[in-house]
Amino acid sequence: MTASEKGLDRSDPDWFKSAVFYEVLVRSFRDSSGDGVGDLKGLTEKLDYLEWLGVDCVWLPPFFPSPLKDGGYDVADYTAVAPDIGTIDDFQDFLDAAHARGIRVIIDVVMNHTSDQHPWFQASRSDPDGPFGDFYVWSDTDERYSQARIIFVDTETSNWTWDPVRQQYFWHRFYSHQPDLNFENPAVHEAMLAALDFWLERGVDGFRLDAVPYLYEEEDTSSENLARTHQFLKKVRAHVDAKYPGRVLLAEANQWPADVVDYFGDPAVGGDECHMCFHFPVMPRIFMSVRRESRYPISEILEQTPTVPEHCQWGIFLRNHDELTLEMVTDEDRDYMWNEYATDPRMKANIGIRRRLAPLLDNDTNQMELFTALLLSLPGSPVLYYGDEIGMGDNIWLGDRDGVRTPMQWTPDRNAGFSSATPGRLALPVIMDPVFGFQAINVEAQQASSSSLLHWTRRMIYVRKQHTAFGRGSFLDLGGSNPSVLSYLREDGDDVMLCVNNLSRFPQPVELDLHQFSGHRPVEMLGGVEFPPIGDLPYLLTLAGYGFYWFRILADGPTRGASE
Amino acid sequence: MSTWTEQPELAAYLARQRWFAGSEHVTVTGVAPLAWLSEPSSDPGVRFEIVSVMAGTQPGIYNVPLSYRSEPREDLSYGFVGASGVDGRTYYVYDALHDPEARAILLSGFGDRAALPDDIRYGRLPGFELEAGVDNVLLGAEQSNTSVVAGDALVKFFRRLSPGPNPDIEVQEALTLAGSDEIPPLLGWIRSGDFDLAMAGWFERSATDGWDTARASVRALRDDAVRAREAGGDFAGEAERLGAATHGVHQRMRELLPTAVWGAEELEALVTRLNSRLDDVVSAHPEVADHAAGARAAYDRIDRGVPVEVQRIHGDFHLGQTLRTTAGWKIIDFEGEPAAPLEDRIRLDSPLRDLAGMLRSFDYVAHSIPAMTGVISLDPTVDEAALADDWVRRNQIAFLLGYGFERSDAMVAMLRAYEIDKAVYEVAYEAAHRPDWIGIPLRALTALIGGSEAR
Repeated sequence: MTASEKGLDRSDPDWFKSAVFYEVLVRSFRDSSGDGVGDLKGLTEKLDYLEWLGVDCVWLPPFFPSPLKDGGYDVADYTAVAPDIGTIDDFQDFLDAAHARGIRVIIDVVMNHTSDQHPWFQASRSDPDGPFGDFYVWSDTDERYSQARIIFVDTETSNWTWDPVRQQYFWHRFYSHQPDLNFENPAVHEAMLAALDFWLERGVDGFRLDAVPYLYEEEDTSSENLARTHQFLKKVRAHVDAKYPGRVLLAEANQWPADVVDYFGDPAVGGDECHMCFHFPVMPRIFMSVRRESRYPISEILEQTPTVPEHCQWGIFLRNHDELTLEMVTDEDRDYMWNEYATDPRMKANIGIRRRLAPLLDNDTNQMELFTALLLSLPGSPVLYYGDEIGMGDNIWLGDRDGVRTPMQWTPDRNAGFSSATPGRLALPVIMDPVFGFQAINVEAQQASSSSLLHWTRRMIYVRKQHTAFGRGSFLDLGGSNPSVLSYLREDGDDVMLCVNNLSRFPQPVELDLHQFSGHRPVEMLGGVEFPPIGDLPYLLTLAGYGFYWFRILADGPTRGASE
Repeated sequence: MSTWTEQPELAAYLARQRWFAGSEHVTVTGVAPLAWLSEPSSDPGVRFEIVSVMAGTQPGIYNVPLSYRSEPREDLSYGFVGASGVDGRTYYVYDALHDPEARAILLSGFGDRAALPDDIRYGRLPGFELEAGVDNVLLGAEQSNTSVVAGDALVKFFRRLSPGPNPDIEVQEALTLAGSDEIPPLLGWIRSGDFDLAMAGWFERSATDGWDTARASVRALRDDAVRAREAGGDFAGEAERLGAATHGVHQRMRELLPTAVWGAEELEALVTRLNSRLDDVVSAHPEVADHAAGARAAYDRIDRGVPVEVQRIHGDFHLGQTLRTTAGWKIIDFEGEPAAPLEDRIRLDSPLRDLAGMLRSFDYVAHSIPAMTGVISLDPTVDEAALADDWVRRNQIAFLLGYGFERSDAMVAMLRAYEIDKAVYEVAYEAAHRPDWIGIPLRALTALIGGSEAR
């Protein structure tokens, strides 16, 4: 056991199933040095806040040296820290301090490609016969693998780009400044495993694996989800399990759930690839369900979601550093989403637009609470995005995805308490509009008010953490008489939670068939209020607009028939 | 043996039930009990009883399964019928569908059939078997039947009986055996002699009916006060998928059940039937008289020279006969118009009759909220009725598009005639049952007769 592991409970290898994740961008969280850029020391200062909030695991997107043409996902060195945000020692200090509070840390690893500034690529293009000559996918023609689609159709016209230095084309599934690594080459496997070991040895608790479906390419295929890609992931998993048990692999595979489920690996052994995968379609479906005031968009996608192997878990989220992702959901005949979106100007406008949760929901607290309650109670581990817990806004005038990466708003003071730098020096400006500006929306004010969104979110997180049904339980969609009310049971042994959500702006009644719990009393979770006992007839509940309930159903109550 | 003809209690119990037609001067004129499914000595005794009644001057036959208990049961009191003697002993008699143990006995024939008496048959489609002792629960009683959920099955006990095969079972059996996924599959039925007593189908646990689903959209529209295509609760995608499911069902019914072609003679007879219904309604409801000439002209536009393919149809098709499930739309209740005689309910007709029913249902649902709340508009500067009409048009078009409706002159004329006929029927229905709603069909008649052919 390394020094950094002291605060962690290592007894449960399935810890990630019931963990609450929190995505934080180091450059935007807290600037300790006053240079206008958030840094690792600043992040360490704010660990008390994350512990207070109830976060179990922090996810750090790439903080490696990078030309930052793709938010750091264009990595120029896998085993170093970008100089503007700190040093390896700063990282170690952060990791140890997090662990001391019982908070785990996962970091991003981009396996598919590097930046064109990475020394491997520079060596590969200038010395084709050298040790890195075969690290990338080179070709004399740009006609191979022609069935692979182009993902960033707005900026790229081909998956091949001519390199004037090497006088060959190189393969890239994303931007042309991000050449794909050549996984046919065993030396690439070794280099990648060595990079993972570098961080695992320091104590990181796992990796989010970026863009995993694209590692290999083969002629006459889409070059996605290939068998050899899965073989490589199995190899990574076996390597990590053997040397560093209890660490987690979380895959980003933006595909349909039926295809994503393959990234968990073999169900017979409880999963032998990634422990977790993001469930992408559920997020736009939540937005759609509330927009349509209909539970069917959510119910359908959960119905189509296969069961995951025993030691695996979905990761779910409302917002993250990317856009409201729909581009990569391509299987149209299983999905009516596109049709629905295409006819609705407001939903259409949100495809590919980078907004935070609060502005997407018109800053309506009731909706923000409903969305958060869904995030915390649907199957999977929730991944919160920094700032959404206080209802932060965005800045649509900033380019690319920077609009949702503005500095965390800590206080109503200068620079929102993010930095002591001269305001003009901040890498990204703080939000200053009258509704979402830091003087109105900040951690300090919300911590001082027990009725704030922040306190409410924290209470919900703590409820969730104390009931295994949410993280580990089964999921049963209860249907019910009202199409605008989504009701489900989460059940883990004796821990039974009933969640009822009104997706409509109007008050709604719902009748639920709960007769299997006849004689039991539902207890509402935030207030502990006992509701009338369940009988054989449908159970009637009424909900305010966007209202929801979490009930515990006590399994040790009187059994059915005892009153007869 | 039964004493119910001499005792008033059963007649009084029936008169209180929602599924009973009529409530005054009810007398039980005869009771034909089937054999015991469970002897009274084994407590409870359970059997079906076929009860003949007169309600005023209306005769009727009802399916009344009863449970005979040796001790009174406080917790079943809402299903208590009365005390009755059998073979010299007195029993406390309950509606068996309100008695959980008795319900289990009524359902046991779907499991082990060895012990069944000769006068009753439990039919099961391949693959269906109800496990003994499976949990069962009573759903709310409906207009004409009482439903029980047992395991994955929804068992609908018909209350009002008429001799002969029930068209719902007949149609759903054919559709199920052909593998239709546009209906919840039929699982089985209970039959005695000439009477169908119950049917069992797959219970769509996740379902809500189309009427409620569409109303969620209408409510959102009122609040948004925008054109339907811009409203958050847009329903057109649903309407289109419902149209496709309807087409699937019609196509299978055409393949599996009898069909015919209506020539000039049959079409003339159709026009006569339409005019005759119009005459009846006009004489009772003078407000329809203004529309009569226009309606007759529309009926007369049915082109007798273009033969029409006819087939078995749903017969009472509206949003309330559809279920939105997580696996798409399902269509239910193929009984035809419940008040009509069996011969009319199974009459071959054009599928356009069903389409007209659904088009009218969209109009109904869109205007139902002001009819219920009495609030015509939430914002005096917004013409909500016009927005509702826009919603109706959008969803009718989407439905017809999903169905693949062929827009020939003859088809359009016939569809319009069926819509008018339905609206005329609705006026009479609302006058009798929901006077607050009569404005909906009257308004529709104005639009259908005077209005454009834009759709």
